[in-house]
Amino acid sequence: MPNAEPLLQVSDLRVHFPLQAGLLGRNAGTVKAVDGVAFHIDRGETLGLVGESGCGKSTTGLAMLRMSPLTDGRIHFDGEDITHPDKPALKRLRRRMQMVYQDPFGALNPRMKVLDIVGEPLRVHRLTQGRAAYREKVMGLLEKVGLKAEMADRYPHEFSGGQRQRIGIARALAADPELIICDEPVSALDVSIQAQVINLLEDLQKELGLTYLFIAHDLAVVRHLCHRIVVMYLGRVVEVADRETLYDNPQHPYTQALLGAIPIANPDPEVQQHFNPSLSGEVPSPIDPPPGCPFHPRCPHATELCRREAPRALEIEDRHSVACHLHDPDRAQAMAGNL
Amino acid sequence: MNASVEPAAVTATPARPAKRRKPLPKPLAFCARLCRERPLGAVGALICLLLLFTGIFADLIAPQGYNAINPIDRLKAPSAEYWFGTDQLGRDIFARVVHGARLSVIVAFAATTLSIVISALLGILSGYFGGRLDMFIQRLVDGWMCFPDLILLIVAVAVLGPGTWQIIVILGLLFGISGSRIVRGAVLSARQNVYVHAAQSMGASSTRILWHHILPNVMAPLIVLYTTRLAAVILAESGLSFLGLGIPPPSPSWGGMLSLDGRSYMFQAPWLAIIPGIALTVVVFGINMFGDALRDMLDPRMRGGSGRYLARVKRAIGV
Repeated sequence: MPNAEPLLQVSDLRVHFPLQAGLLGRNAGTVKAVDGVAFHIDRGETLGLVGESGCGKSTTGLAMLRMSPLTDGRIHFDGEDITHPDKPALKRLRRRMQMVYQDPFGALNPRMKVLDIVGEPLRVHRLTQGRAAYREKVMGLLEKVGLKAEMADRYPHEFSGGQRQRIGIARALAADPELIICDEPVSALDVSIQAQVINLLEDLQKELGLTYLFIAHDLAVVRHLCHRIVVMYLGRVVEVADRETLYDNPQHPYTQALLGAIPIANPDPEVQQHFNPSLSGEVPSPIDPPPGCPFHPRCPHATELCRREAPRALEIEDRHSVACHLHDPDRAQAMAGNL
Repeated sequence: MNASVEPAAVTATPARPAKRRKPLPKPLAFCARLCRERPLGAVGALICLLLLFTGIFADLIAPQGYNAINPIDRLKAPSAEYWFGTDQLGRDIFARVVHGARLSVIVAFAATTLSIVISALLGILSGYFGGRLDMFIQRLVDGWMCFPDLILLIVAVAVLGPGTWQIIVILGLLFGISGSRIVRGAVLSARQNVYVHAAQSMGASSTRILWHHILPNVMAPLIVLYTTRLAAVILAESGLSFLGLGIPPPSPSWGGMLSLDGRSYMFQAPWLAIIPGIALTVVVFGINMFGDALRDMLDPRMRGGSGRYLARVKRAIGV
């Protein structure tokens, strides 16, 4: 449901990490983890953030929570500029935005009871008064994520991976957030458990009107859950589109290759010949990204222009933008001339 | 819920869920485990307890005091009257050893506690907050650790003069600063936990994170550090007293007894040197055994230094 104003608006986000070498911390280059990313998240939607590992999708997610240092760019959350929040603003932000982690084993302190793990945001933001209310709230949260209320007195090691992820989700829900950043929340789980957790996330969204930023590399999961999808490559956004558009009509060569790499669970040779993981080569290093379009060394359509100049993001149809010279009408002519 | 009025309480109280059976309270269960898994550690623990007991009740065990001079009974061999013999002034060695235990306990616990507090503060500041502060603290620690311990001790005693509280401060500082490295390492690894990240991302304060998420991870190395330091402090105090830089006579420091009286009358009255020597050996052995057992039980990662080092070297050179 596109509202007038997006819940989160990111423009020209850059996160660069300086590389230090030797004793004296000599600057040995910069890792451009995120290099000019722009997107928005509407209220109540699930935005998928996909790309190969190392493309900067997790760093982007962390930047939303202001957990990674920003080199440049602006982030607006609910109309408020959160690029450089002061301490109280940051604390407010970290109540309204919560995170679910990939590793269900590391994300919960093994020395704490579930009661205190799930209730930690309540304590941090002083959301309940008194021991009884606190306990009741935590138990309610546990039931909401499909666990039993009496599990509150157990320790994390007594739970399975899927249950632990539910505990992590309950913790994320505790402070009544508006946006939940899910950083690969199911990729560490068995396939059967993945489905349960995804359904839970969907149900919670319907019930509580949550907005998700869903970071993942599993395109099947993303297709199931996300309304809109941002495809990232080497710290940049290459394509943004609604789910149907992206899966049926991908325009960027990288997106096409990514979707072509989804294995087809059908042994029929006629079906199998459409399975075409065509991409060769490796992801270039973000320390020394190729000039021009970052994808050009692996792109089957690369031209001289791609090697020289970075493409701009263009809206080729409603709610579908691509950063590729092939789809830039001004550039297409130049490319034709070059050829 | 008040259960003061019996009949009302019986009817009003809803059936409580059966309390989960707890086998043993934690400290007792730990002692049982210690005896079972590390008998030598249990012996060490007993020796530590004995030392503590002797130190606390020294006045009851040897009521005549450590300085009661009795010139008639000079240099008497151990007997029924003087269990450990007497020294050249006719002082009862048993009384002096018992009171020496009190001195050792005071110095050891005070200096070790001080050192652990310093270690924890420096290590946590350095490891958790990192950055420039870490750089600054660590270079200071580097500088401090450049000097051999004994040189630092001698210089410090020369400046502050000998005496009990001086020794406590000097030893506390010395061991505290070197120990901060261990705490810093533990904090650095604890900080990497995803749940620490999670706490930060939900807006928890540094105090809260340190208290709930970092400190429990640092507790085991701290306890281990405490026990190993305890023995080291006792040895260092004895060493200083032996050199005449520690606690001045007539205080019955074991190290002082070894050196002053022990060496002078080694051939005429060997018990003068042997008795405090045995006391020192037994106590340090006991504390070390207890410390080792604690380390193995609390912090399995610290087990077996050389083996782990070798494995690390092998990994580094890719064998």
